[in-house]
Amino acid sequence: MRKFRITVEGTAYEVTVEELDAPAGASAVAAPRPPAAMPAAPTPAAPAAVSAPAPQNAPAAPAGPGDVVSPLAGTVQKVEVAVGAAVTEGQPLVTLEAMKMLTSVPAPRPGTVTEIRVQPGTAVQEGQVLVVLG
Amino acid sequence: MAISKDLLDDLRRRRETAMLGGGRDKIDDRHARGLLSARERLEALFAADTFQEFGLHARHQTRHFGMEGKDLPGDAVVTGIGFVDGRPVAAFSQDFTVAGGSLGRVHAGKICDVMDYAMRGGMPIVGFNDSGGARIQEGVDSLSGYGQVFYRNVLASGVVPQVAVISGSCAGGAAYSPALMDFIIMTRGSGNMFICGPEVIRAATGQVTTMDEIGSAMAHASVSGNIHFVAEDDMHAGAIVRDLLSYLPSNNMADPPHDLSAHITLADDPGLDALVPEDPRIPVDVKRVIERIADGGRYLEVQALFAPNIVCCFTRIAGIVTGIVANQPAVKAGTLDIDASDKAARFIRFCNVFNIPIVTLVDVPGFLPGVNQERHGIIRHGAKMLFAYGAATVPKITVILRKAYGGAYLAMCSRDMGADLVYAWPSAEIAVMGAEGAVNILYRRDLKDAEDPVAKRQELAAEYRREFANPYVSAGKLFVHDVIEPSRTRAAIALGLRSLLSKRETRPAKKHGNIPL
Repeated sequence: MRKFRITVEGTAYEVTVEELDAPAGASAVAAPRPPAAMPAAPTPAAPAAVSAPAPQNAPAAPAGPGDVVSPLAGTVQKVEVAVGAAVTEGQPLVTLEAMKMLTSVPAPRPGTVTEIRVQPGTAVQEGQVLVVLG
Repeated sequence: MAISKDLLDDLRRRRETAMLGGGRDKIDDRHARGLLSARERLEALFAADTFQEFGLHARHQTRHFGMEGKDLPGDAVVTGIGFVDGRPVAAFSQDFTVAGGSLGRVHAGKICDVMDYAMRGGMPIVGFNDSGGARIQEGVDSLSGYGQVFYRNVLASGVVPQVAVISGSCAGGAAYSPALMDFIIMTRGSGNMFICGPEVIRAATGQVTTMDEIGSAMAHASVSGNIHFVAEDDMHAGAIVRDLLSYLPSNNMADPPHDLSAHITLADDPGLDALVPEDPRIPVDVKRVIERIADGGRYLEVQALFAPNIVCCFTRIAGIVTGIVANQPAVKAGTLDIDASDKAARFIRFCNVFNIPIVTLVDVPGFLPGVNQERHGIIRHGAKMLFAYGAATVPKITVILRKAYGGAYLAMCSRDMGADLVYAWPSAEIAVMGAEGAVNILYRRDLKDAEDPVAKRQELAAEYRREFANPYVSAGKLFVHDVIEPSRTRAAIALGLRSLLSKRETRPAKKHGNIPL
């Protein structure tokens, strides 16, 4: 058992890591997944009687400081910017098609597009990172 | 013969001392930090010279822990009544300069006294919260004081509007008095509210957090949904209270302050026709629609930063005070989710209890699909909207702008959920589900046997859309009273509201319904 402190978006989480299968060299990390929004409490382990949500339904990864995430599950209809583009707050970055509607995902702040993780046709989950701003 | 000058001088002296609260130095210090004193907050709320104070000379009666002989002017709270727009309002304002605004027995007694006065007189209650919490020296007397205030919050709920302003600290159990009131306004920077602060959370759980993250105005406005308005400073908070009160009746037996003129304008507004894009997938920002329906484009949005996929606001339409509930398709496609349901349901119930008609603008593709939504109880939360609309007996007018699908359509006050009047725009799509989904179920066999299932599906979906995703099927079955041009919307609502001004509806007698919580 080893204790680690992991900082995500300025919030520190203390996690205990136990190596279950030491000879095989696999390190199983049982860190609670911090939610993308402000957490009220760390995500608890799923109750035994009910299975945890299937991994493919969970957000791809916790969002970092420059990550712009999808507000809902849908399909990417159009990427409105290119890598390297300087964007202003509120400028549309990606247009999603979801629930019979087009949803524009705007830049939450001014910045430069450093990475685009989706393309037209990509199916995205709620909370999945679409674009990274530098 | 006249009253003795000595007596008058003594009164003046006592008054001057008490009104300084914790002293001139502490007040100056607050001013230096951009904060108003407790008394100045009330002055900023009320019309000049209308504040009548209760209990200026109140004193605590504690003898323990060195409290004997300790002077706490007004017992750390200023209470009384004043006037806003010519109507009486009861208020209390905790004085942080006196013993940190701590709540003792007399302090609580003063708050209870002014609340009782408000309930007897039928006037709103406004409370400015700025307190370190319970006065520990008074022990369980202090705890009892909170209980008495909470109990009165519950008694007054649905009788007179209650508004809390979080001007400073509001920690622990103290946060439950504001939470029991109708609206909470929180001042950015100086206000904070939490049950367990960062230190306690850290000690108990090891989680490291900050006040910004759990207790700030922005956290409560956008994430927890605990508050309704964010004020930039004390003056702004007072202005928001006055703006809010301008839409509210003084009590549940009174009509809201309608501005009924003998003549109303019923001109069409072509600007509304122009707002609607041909492509049904391109969202209309529903706030642009609200601006064109509201008198002078003015409205007061409640919980603007929380669950922005639904918009709740107060406005006047041809002078009649109205609560608007509207899907916002520009955010999360306008879907209903847990937070949106909670937000709208509470707003609807407030409107109903204070006689404010409700106008519902529908553009909803459905409930938000997702594992989280199901596991966190969207059934229970979505049911609140159905319950709130079904239980509301105020005038209810529904306008279906574009999408109205499935259970979410019912949850947006359909005819069957008790709408008095339902209009639809020609762009309305009222159906049990989207065309593609419906076709998959209705034509499963045809699709399986088709040579080109994709083309067949598209063809069938287009046909379904033509035949069913329009307002005329529903209008033909009397679910919709009329199909109107968007440009006609304001006039239609205005006439509808006028026609329903003396609506009455009786229901079976009961203690209260059992809304899913």
